[in-house]
Amino acid sequence: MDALVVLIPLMPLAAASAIGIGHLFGAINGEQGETVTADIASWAVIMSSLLALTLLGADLLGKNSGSYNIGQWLNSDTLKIQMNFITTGFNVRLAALFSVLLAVVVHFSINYMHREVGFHRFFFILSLFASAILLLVLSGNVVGTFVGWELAGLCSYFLIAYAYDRPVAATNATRVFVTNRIGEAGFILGMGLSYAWVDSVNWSAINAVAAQLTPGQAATIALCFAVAAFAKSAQLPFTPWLSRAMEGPTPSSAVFYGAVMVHSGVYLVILLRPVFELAPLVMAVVAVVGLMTAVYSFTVGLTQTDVKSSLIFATSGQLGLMFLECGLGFWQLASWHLCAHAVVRGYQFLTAPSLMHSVSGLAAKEPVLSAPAWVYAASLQRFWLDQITDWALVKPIRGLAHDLSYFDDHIVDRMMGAPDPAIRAISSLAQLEERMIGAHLDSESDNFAQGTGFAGKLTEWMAAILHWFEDRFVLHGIGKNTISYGRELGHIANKFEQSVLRPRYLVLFVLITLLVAF
Amino acid sequence: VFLISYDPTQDPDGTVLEGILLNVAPVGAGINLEYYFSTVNSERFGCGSKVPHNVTGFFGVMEGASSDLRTGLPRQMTEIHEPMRLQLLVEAKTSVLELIYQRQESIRELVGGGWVHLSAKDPESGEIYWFQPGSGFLLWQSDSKDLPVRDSSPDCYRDQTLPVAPVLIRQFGIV
Repeated sequence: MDALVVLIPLMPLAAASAIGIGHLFGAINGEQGETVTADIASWAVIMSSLLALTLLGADLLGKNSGSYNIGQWLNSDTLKIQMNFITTGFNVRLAALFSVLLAVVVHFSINYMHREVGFHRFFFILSLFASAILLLVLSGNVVGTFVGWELAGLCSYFLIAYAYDRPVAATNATRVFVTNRIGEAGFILGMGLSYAWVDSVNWSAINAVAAQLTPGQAATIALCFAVAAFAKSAQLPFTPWLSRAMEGPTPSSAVFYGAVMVHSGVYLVILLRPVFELAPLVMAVVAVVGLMTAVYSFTVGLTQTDVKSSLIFATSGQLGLMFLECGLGFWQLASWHLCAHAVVRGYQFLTAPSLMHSVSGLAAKEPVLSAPAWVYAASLQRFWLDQITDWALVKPIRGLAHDLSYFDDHIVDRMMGAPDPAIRAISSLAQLEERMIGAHLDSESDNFAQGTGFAGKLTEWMAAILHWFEDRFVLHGIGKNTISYGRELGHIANKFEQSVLRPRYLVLFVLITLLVAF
Repeated sequence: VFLISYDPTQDPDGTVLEGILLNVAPVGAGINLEYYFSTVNSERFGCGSKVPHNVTGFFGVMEGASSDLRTGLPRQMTEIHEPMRLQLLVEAKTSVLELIYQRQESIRELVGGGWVHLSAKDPESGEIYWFQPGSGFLLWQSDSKDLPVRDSSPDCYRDQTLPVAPVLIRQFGIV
């Protein structure tokens, strides 16, 4: 029965390839192709969910051995990465639940996306995502989980920017993508440290050897994966990305942020339970972050006026509670909470567009508590988290990029020689004519006029000065100098700003020192 | 099609008809014009595709996490209804209608301005007159044509996405 596990993520991947290739070569296109695309996607995901349910049944009957290994993926000196899968326990339960939810959402989307321009693109990404998330929960090693983790993040980016003609959607998608990179840095660091200290990238090995790690090592690994989990499951301080992710079509919001992907952070923490249990400090961090996110999301959720935002803050609040449960050591509760929440929130998101139907006839509720005015303001502004991030991270990094580009322009390009087609080109017809009558605009010595004797020399100088003047301010005036003077002025202004904004260099130096010290 | 019960024999001076027209014409014209404008410019006058819509404040929709409120009809609605000018077909004497037309400013704006078509079927002769802005009621004349016959209404629009021409749907017991 163990071998079935390979097919579970493979079926939707095959569907995604079929849809992608078919669409690319024009075989599946337009409204006529909708049935084909929908059939491929929904059958693949239905097959996956049947396989996952079979695997779950076999696991419950005790017929699974716990892991299934296809073979070696990478073998480089001591680094050996196998293609292995976990076939028992929480992973299989989660795979079964997620695949059933995915099948429901894919089926729901067929009518929902009818006659949309991005119909085929949507199902391609949804199938790819199904494959990624099933790989994420079933993979037996960190690398496989990371591949799923990244692919799921990429699919999320594509679907937030589903309506990429809207600038708001494109901006929000990019912001979400970039925010998640922080979590991925934690994941990669955790992966590297596990390999360095445990000498293996298999989840089972990491959990088994955890007891032999020093408390510091266990805490570091746990903290790295906790950061990854916080980013993926939108815990503080990453929570704002989740509300920006509400740009995509409603079924994609349901499957990514209501039912499936957003839970992968909690899954990761539960998976690494033995490591976390050796690091009480990190458990405390997880609990505090979870509690803070729950309080934050509850407070912000109270003032949300649109259905998707109120649902998404409810989601991050529940996720916060799950982290709190993990942090306090109620692992069973957290895993059941995850499964129950996935079902309920998926349903709520799918029915969100018919909110008016669901609330018609219901009386408006009076608020039980009245909060102080500042809480209301803070809640409306979502505690200024976005603005704080902009000020503390986005602006310094943008400044740093600007400085680097200045360094590039003024030092690297000058030393290496920059391609400057515009400056050497003839910028006006007058310049061309002057060149044709023999004026050397590009050289310093100008033999435009030649004479002998005192009067002749005087005339030559006068002519040279006048010509220099004309050349400098009239001909070249617009051609190149205005632009380069303007640039230089701009750079001087930037330099001034630079000296005002020194702290970022300080931070950068501290970071570099820390990195070197490590 | 809205069918409104009205008996011209009970209403010689047209007061009932006046009330009906005052209610029906602006509402019908409004609906038809909403379809028209949402069709000709789905992004501006309509509200684009329904797919990214997000119900806001229990009164409207916006797109995604933040956008202006979207007004008009979504593309999914304009796709299934052909936008056309409202045709008001009234069974009444043209003289009665002319009096109403003179009395009511709002009807004059709609009918005289060409926003809706108005036709009258004479209760006695059965002749149909159509209103031409500027010249009043003219007799409508047309040759009788055989319509293609279909068994059911899905037969009329199956495999078609553009507006369909008039057809006759065969009903039970009627050939």
